[in-house]
Amino acid sequence: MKSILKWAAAAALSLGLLSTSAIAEDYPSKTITWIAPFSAGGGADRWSRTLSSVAFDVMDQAVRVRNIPGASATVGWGEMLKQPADGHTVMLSSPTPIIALVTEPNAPFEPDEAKIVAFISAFRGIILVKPDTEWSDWDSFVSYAKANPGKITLGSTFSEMVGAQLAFESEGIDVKLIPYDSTSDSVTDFLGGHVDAIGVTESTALNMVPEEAVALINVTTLPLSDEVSEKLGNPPHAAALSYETINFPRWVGVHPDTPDEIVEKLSDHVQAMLEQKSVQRITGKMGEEIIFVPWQDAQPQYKALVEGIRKAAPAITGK
Amino acid sequence: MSLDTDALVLAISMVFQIETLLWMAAGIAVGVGVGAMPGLQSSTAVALMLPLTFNMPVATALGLLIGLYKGSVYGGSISAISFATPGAPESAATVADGNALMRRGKGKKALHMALYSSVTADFLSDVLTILMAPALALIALKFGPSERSWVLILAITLIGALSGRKLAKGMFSAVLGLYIGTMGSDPIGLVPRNNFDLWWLRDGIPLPPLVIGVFAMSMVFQELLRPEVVGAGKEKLADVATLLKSKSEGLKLHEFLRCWKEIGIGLGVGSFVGLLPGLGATVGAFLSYAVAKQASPNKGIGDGALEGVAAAEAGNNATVGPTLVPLIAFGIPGSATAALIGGALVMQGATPSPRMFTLFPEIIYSLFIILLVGNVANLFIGRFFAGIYARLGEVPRRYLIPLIGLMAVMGTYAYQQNPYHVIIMLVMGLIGLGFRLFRIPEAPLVIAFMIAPLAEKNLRKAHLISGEDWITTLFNSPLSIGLAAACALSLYVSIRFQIASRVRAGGGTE
Repeated sequence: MKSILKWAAAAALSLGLLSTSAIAEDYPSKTITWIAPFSAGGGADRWSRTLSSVAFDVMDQAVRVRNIPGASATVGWGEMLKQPADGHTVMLSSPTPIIALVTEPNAPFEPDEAKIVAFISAFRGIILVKPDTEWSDWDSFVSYAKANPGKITLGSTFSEMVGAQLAFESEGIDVKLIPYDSTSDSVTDFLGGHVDAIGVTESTALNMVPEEAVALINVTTLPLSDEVSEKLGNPPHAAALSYETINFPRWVGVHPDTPDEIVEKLSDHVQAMLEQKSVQRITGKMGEEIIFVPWQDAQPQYKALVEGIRKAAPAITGK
Repeated sequence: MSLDTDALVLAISMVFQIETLLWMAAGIAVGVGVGAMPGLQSSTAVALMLPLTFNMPVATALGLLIGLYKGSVYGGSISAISFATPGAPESAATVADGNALMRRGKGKKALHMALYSSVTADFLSDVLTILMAPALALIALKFGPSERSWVLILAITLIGALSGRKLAKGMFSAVLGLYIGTMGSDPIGLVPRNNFDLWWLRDGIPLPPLVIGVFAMSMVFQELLRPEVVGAGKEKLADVATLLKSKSEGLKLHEFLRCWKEIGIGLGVGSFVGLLPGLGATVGAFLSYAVAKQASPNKGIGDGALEGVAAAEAGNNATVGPTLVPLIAFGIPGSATAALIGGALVMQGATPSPRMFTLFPEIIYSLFIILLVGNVANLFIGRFFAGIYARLGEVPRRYLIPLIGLMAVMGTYAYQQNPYHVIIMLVMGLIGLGFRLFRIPEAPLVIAFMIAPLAEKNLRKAHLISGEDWITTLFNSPLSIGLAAACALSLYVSIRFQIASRVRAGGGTE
């Protein structure tokens, strides 16, 4: 009896595998709904529409972009979870909804309820201070912060604050974190001398260094290119100092129960879309950098991102 | 900053190309249409048209985007006056006087006043921006979280003026606005609050569904309660051609000049508000309106006065130029639309930065010229639209009301394609209906809803920065102390105004 059961189980498994393989082979078999969980006109929306413009050439199926914003991009994510786990509903997002889900005690789902297909881009986080301060390099900043805990204030949006806080925790320093809704607001207060330091993206840092600011450190896993690093005065890289670091990616995900075969195939399709000349031209004009990370590498990096956010969240939200 | 004559000449030749002028005109025309549609905002229009600019010369791209921006800011007032439905939140302050004039058959006067006061304040604030951008930017930088908190508290002290003689009802309206403003999550710790355990309320209630609900949908509900509107009336939709041919009286020069004081208030208040990050055109409009009402208690502002339209429209349009100041002076966008214009400059290879005056003087001068020329183009194109829309007041209400309802639903959905916003808008419509039935003023609700979360955010930031010491939080600079004194003065004047108006009314209050 036991052997019959074993055979039956083996047969069922094979059939299951076969059917998954068969589905993956046909994938995509219909139009893909591509959720941009932010409003039209934003970064996720522009990336989605750029990729959708070449989707048919790459995978013989069209991609229909749907903007489903709301509740820090979690409404769109929730919509994806309601759809079948067949890879025909895809979402392109940023770390914003992860922060919302991690900081909310009664979140409707967990941030691991997505299977990552790929990272398509990422931005780097740089800490800036005023050129005329007495701690205008990372070492003196750390020394001052150790001697004066909670005295230095850093303003930034929540995303950039996560990377900064991980660097501060790695050094065991206490910097007062001031959350801002937008980078422009934090930069204005920084220029007015109302906060001592700011966390910004690479492109904002390039606008401000060297006249208005000095780059203290790159707090993300990704290193700066040689050219950018030189323009920013070669700031130290947190990863090279063995600090805990994360990346802030633009990620593409699907329903968590989607078979790996389909995820792999979609990951390849996304890579092929990114390699299209028109996509490279448009993203270049958008001032965005294509940084493709395939699904096998992106999934552990995504887990590290969620863990990093969980670790930094209490200091950021004061909970 | 010295004038670079070569760059100026080059900029003039770049702007006065037929291609640039045509795209600017197209931008204004589209912008007026977008602005008139509730829910669609200037930033949405600019975002959607941005890809078109990728292959345009820089001046043409700026012409299209600035045209869109200016057109849509004016367009918002068209539907506010014609349908009592603010096309954008910044036009909400125009509804009371503008629509009352429309109902009295003076729609054309109201639309012309909105246009002329908008263009005048916009033009003068642009000149101010051009002449003083670097100096203005330095002034703006002095306003940190503590100083901004006091500016916002100053705005709250003016709520009494927005309530008119209905002080108690005005305070009720403000308290309700304050409560609605706290819904969602707290701005610093992200702790959920007042959201009835509804996840989709996590981000709180956005301004467009609230404004559309309170001002437009409430009117639809009220009209539906009237049997003559619900019932199958015998009136027929007037022949469109006849409607368009009908003449109504436009604005006379002396009527425009009579409002110089209110336009001046709008220019001053709007320019100041535009300079400060995060406040925006809606705060500019309501503050100008409140200050004008306080300054001219006998002009009947709130009951269909041209002065009310002038103050509100000048107040919101005067923010347009100054919001670009941080972008021009530091390369930092001061508003969502300024960020998109900054994005267009990046795509043209002119990344906004503090070195823009040195690196790309011809682009900065082109931007300045386009800001000014755009106003003139807006005047002509806006007049054309005003002529058409002014006649909409003559459309029978049994046709007009369902149209307003449809626009409210479609416009709310179009704002972010979020169906939950339609639910919010309908609930706000019911609240607005209650306000109409009990004659409670809506303006305090809107201003408290907008200002209270901003004040909380700034106050808590100031508190964190000061090391959680309240004295330093509130009085950390001479500017903070001066603004605190201004708040006390405003409160005193407001109380005196209330007492005087009660005495005038023979002690009768509501």
